[in-house]
Amino acid sequence: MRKFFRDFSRDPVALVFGLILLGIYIVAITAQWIAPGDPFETNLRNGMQPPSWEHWFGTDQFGRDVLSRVILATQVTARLTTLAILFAVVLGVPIGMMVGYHGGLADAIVMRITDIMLIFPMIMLAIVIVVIAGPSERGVIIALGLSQLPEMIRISRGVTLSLKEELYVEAAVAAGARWPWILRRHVWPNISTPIIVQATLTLPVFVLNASALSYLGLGVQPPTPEWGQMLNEAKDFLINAPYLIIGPSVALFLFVLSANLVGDALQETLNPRTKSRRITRRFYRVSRKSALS
Amino acid sequence: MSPLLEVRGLRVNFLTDRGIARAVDGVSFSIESGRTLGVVGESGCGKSVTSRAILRLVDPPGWIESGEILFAGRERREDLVKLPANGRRMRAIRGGEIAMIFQEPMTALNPVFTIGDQTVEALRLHRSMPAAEARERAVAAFASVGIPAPEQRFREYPHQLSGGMRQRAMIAMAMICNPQLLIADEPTTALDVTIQAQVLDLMNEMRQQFDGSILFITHDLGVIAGMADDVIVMYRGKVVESAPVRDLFRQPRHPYTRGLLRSAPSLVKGNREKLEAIEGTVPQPTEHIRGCAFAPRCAHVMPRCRETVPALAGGEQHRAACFLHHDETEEMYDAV
Amino acid sequence: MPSDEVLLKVSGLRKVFPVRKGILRRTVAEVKAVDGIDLTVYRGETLGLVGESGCGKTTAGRSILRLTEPSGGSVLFRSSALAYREDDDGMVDVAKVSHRELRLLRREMQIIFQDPYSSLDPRMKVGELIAEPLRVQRLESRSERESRVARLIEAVGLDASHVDRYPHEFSGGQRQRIGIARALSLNPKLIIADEPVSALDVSIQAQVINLLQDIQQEFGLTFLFIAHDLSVVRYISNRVAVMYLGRIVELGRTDRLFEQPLHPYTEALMSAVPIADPERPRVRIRLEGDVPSPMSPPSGCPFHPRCPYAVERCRSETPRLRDFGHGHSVSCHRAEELDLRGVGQDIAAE
Ligand SMILES: Nc1ncnc2c1ncn2[C@@H]1O[C@H](COP(=O)(O)OP(=O)(O)OP(=O)(O)O)[C@@H](O)[C@H]1O
Ligand SMILES: Nc1ncnc2c1ncn2[C@@H]1O[C@H](COP(=O)(O)OP(=O)(O)OP(=O)(O)O)[C@@H](O)[C@H]1O
Ligand code: SF4
Ligand SMILES: [Mg+2]
Ligand SMILES: [Mg+2]
Repeated sequence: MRKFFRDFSRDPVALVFGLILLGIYIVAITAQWIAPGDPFETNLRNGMQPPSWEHWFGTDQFGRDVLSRVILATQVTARLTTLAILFAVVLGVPIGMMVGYHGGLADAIVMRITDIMLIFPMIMLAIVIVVIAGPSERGVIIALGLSQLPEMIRISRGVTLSLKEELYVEAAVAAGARWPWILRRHVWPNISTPIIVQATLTLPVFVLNASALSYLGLGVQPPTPEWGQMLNEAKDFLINAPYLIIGPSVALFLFVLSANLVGDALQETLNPRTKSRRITRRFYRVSRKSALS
Repeated sequence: MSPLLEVRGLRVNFLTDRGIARAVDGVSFSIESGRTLGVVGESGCGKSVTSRAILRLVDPPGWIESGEILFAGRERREDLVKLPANGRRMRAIRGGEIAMIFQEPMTALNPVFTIGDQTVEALRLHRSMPAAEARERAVAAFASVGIPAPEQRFREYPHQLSGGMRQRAMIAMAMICNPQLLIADEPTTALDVTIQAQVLDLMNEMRQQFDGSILFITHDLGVIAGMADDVIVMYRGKVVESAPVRDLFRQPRHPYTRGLLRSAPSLVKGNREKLEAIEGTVPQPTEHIRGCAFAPRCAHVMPRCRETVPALAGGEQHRAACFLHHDETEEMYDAV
Repeated sequence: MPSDEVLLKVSGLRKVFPVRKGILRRTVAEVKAVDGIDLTVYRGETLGLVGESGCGKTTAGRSILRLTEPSGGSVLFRSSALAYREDDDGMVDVAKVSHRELRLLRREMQIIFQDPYSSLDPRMKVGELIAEPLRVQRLESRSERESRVARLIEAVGLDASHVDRYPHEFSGGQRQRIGIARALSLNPKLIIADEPVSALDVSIQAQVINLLQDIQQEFGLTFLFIAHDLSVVRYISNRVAVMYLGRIVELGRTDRLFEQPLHPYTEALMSAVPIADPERPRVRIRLEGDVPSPMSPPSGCPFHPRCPYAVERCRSETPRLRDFGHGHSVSCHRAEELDLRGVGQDIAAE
């Protein structure tokens, strides 16, 4: 683990954006305390004010402090996406491991279902779910989670299939281990890495999709702030109050960008093959020089 | 007459995650023309790296740190270390004057071309001749290594051949340009005993006809006993003993060689006494060892073994890198 | 010391792998990896199983332990855990017991793998690896386990401080010691050792062979020792079985089999082994051709296409394993008339 941090921190871009991502999550967790004003307090006389010292991102048509709303929206988005990912992992990984290990009919059926789910576009799925469950935070979480479920099943099934052939799994069977033990002790530790990478890479997609759903009015309902929904409101005042879009779009952009870059960097550090190549290449250059001089 | 190949103080290093690995750490030997030099040693002792260095095939993260590889080629004697690794001259030497057979022929053969095409190409790369003639010679070469139905095998892809057949094809390919030196890196290790016996017999027959030299690498003392004229024993990147084959087996000098010969159970005798194992493990090539690399495992270790590296010494023919033999007295050994 | 109590009796064991092709995964052919073998292993002995690559040694071992489901035959084992389920004279058929019973049987039959690199989970510490069999069998408390692991580590010649290290920090020979300690942890009666020294360096092989012999004495073990190195097999085994294309072609007491082989394949195999003595001119029995594929084994005697003594009958009629006395059995039509050379008799006439 220490080695992992060392390798990771050698990459300055990943380090900077990792810190930004961490910062975003800290903001999300502490939103209640750090928001300068009350995100719900309306003050119609104070509506549509351009950015000022008092209101960094200005105020909206109801006079609410945009900065406070962006901060709270960060919390909403972080909660939504994190829960959605957890949903996909908690449901998908056990299914994937189980069908991968046992194979047979269950495996064939699950694989067909995931194929079908992959054909459906996420938005369609979300609309169906929202229509059934009604627009709400829970609906968004389920929609996002389900959209990622096939991918989680595929990853964990694939890893399980290849590990099943490992001699050390056979060694465990020869010792009398049953499948729950093998999945927990020998398979899961190998799945966690690709799952973490996949989750980090999914995060920006979820953020965008959550915003898109809210923008379409299918997601988080007002007055709860959400970036997409804030953008949706801001677009009506684009001419008169263009500053309204600054807050939510900057936050959205930063979150998506940093999650993406961190995901890439994780993938590279956690994948031993690319890692060793990178490191030896770097060292080789150095030592070659010293050998020549 | 100077030897066909003379390696002096060859050092090859690799950069690894654990630091610099001294894979070949000052190796010297020479091969007279017409003779077979056997190289024995355990996994990781630097046999393959030595042979790759001769052909200048050491790729990053490795490099030749120092040393000379003097090769008396068709025209003149030259130091291969000084030639550009991928220059015109080196490419002419590779496959033309020095040919190589690998342990795992699958990795050396191109899976998308037939073995016939690959043999013809190997020939035409070094000798300009019409395609038809090259083909004829290739088929003849296949027949000479005992490939049944050579015309038909010619059109097959490497994966269609069995391990033994593939190795025969490799031998045919290596010999077709009539090289002066053939490097065989564990050519039979991946084969079954009965197939190994066939390939070794074939190589022995080739050896009779062929006037060039062979550098034969293996970790099997039995194989070396049947193939080599002279032997060098390697341990951890160094030559620890060098001798004509009979002397080596009759009077091994280095404790490591003795240990190897004694620790293997005998097929013929079928004795039941406890095996005389060499204790300990082979050190990592990245580990720094001050004196003799074998000292940590040696039953005869003396204080000075841990201080200074013993040189390969002891006469013209039979030499060992061990302080027990720096005083020339063979009897002393048993008295210790 | 070997006793005359039968510990394991394998009869007619078969394992067939289907070869599937195409998108429909239809079975287009079969690999008869193990084609009806009979073996008896006595308590306390070491039975060597030799043969060339692909002849089915590993598959036979795995089928006996039911790590792969056998396609046919029976594997009778004298179990103490399952004594109530006696089928044939106090033995249970491993091939037929339920999965729950099989788990209990695993305490008594263990395996050591050929490859010490891939048979140890790289993410587990040495202590966890050795304790894993005890944990999955829910045997012993935590502290008992720890003291048992400490004893085992010492028994295989490793240091107690090694428990907290990961396998990648060890050399091949040391890893094989870990594998041995693991196999010993359940205190088994039978250990199937599948080429336990083939992947090791020459100088390390002897250490591991010595260790195996020591633990056999100490723990009263019975070994089925699979190998392709005849010298090692001769050294370690009381009796030897020679396999060719999924069948046992010869079985006998070690010295007898090596000195007076009765099967032409055994003779050829022994004469093909290179001997570390350059002053020993030998006449080799040179076998022509390759080992046939187990997908399409030859008719009659599976060895006849390569056999220097084959006659017409060998092509059509499959020889049975016949008893020749002194516990020596052979499957060759011409076993009586042939005068084959054992090891040590292959020196060329001067
Ligand atoms: N590509 C590489 N990268 C890093 N180290 C290497 C590389 N190739 C070889 N080495 C190092 O060189 C040492 C010698 O390797 P070499 O392949 O010559 O051994 P060998 O004697 O041929 O062994 P074997 O019998 O296993 O073929 C090894 O211990 C290894 O550490
Ligand atoms: N899971 C499998 N599926 C299909 N064929 C298999 C499988 N396992 C083994 N075989 C085939 O069965 C035959 C016997 O294999 P096995 O591994 O038992 O041989 P072996 O005697 O142990 O050889 P080696 O000395 O190489 O370990 C081989 O032809 C192999 O290709
Ligand atoms: S039965 Fe015939 S072919 Fe088979 S081993 Fe005996 S003599 Fe050879
Ligand atoms: Mg090598
Ligand atoms: Mg095997």
